[in-house]
Amino acid sequence: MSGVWIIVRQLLRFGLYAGVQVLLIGQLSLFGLGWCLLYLGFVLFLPLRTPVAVQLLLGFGMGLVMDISYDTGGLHAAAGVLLAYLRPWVLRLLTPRDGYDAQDSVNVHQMGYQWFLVYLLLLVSLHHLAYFFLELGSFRHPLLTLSRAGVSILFTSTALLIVQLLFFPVRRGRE
Amino acid sequence: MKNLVAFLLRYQGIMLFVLLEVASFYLFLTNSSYQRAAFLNSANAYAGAVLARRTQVADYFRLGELNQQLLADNARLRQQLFPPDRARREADSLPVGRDTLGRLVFRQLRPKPDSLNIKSQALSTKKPDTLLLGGARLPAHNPTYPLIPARVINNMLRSVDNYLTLNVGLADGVEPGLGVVSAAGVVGRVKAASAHYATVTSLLHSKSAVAAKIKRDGTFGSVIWPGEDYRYALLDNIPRQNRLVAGDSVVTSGYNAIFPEGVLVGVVESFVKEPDKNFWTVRLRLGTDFSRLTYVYVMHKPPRAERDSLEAAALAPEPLPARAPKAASAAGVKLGGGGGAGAAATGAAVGAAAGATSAKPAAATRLRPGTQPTTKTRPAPGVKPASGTRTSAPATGQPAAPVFTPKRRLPRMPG
Repeated sequence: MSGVWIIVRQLLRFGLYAGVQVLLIGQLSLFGLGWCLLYLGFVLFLPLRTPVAVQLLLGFGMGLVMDISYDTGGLHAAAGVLLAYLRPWVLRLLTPRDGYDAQDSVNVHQMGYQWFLVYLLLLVSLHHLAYFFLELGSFRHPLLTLSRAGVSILFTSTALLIVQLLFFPVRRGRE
Repeated sequence: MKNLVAFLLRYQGIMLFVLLEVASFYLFLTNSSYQRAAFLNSANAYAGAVLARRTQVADYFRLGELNQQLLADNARLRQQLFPPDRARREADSLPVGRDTLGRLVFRQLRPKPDSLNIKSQALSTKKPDTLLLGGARLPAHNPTYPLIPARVINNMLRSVDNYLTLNVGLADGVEPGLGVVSAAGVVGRVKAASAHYATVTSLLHSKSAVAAKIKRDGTFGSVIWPGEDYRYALLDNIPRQNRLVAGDSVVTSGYNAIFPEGVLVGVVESFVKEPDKNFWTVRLRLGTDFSRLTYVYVMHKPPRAERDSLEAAALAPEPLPARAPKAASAAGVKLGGGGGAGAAATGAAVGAAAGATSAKPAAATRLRPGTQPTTKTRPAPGVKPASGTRTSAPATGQPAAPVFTPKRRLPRMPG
């Protein structure tokens, strides 16, 4: 797989996630409290060996697109950069006993439910907490903000799990 | 140098992270300031186009909700626009006279709120004591002929028998039988009144007839509405030998005391002489535009019981005191007495010519004022005998008009 193909593929993913988020998912709201930030899937499901700098830039770019769409200035970008920065740490934390294989990717079928759910919930929770408290700019209304973050975490995680189950290749076992 | 590169590579992640976070926070914290580059918000051309398209598509899925919203908005706006219908009974300006060029002069009744000059305000809110309604100057505060301003709240144009609804009623002094005029001319006659509303038989009614005359030479006729077009009516009973001019004003004659003399009914539009009739068929363009009727005035008639009884006594060879007022009051939809009087007069003429003095024909002719408008526009039963008697009048050697008009004028003159 040539480098150009990888870049084109990632650009297509970028456009797809951003488009689905802005055009469809951004309209939804759960209990009037939480939103689904599906675009996180772009950063979360990047290849495992993506360089840190590229991850950060991609997270920043995706966040900026969301900021432009939702008029939030740099809020999504800040949270997105944080997510991209934390992702390698979480990956390192969750390293299997014998390390990652070359073919490994963030895939629920390959890595198993346990690994995937911990990875997903941990990163999405960190992102959402950062996002909602940054949005408020203070810790004034902790209960409301926490409930919004919690509902959003639920929503986003469920949506991303569904995306994984529907669109990611089923290849059991590692070759 | 080598060490520096190694250091940068070693810590590229944390440095880029800090850099990007600083940039993000800068953007976030300056989000509300006006100095922002216009590109970084949803108003930029690309994001704007995408979001507009999304709204277009998304709106399609909530058309019902949008419609409900619009309906609610419209209802609220309409409520602001239209005050309750007991308000605004009076036009904001009233025609009070004509200037030297013949144009209507209006007086503003409610000054605009920004006119702060108290003196001019007091002057302009003073109500005029005469109004120019249908070209006739009518006293606005005459206790015997009080004008009751009203607003048309319902109007019909397309039926055979059209009615209006006004927002005045018995509480305002409206009674059944009163005449209704607008600034442009005759409108109709009150048919029934409740406490706060009144139904008016429009001039556009198959049984309505208005006693009228041509203003130029005073020829009497009666205006009826043949149906079809709300802009035109017919002027009946104008003798064939009279000269007519297109554009002549036709005004009320004042004979039936519903309308005072001189209120405009319409303008002669065209006239044809039909071979089997002694009268012109005159087409009138009505002065009142019924399609845009808003403010009208209900007019009180002066006491006419004495005049009615006098006329009844003069017409009746035998005293039938109970029948005549009953017939007159039964004429619920009759707008004018012109046609009725004409019929009564011809009936009397026939009676005199034939020498038939039996009570039955006399009673029949006396009842004509009430029944005649009915028979007039429903041509089959009533008109035929009437026109028959009229055609028979010249056959006896008398010219039609001289016999016709004096006979009709004679009993009405004392009133």
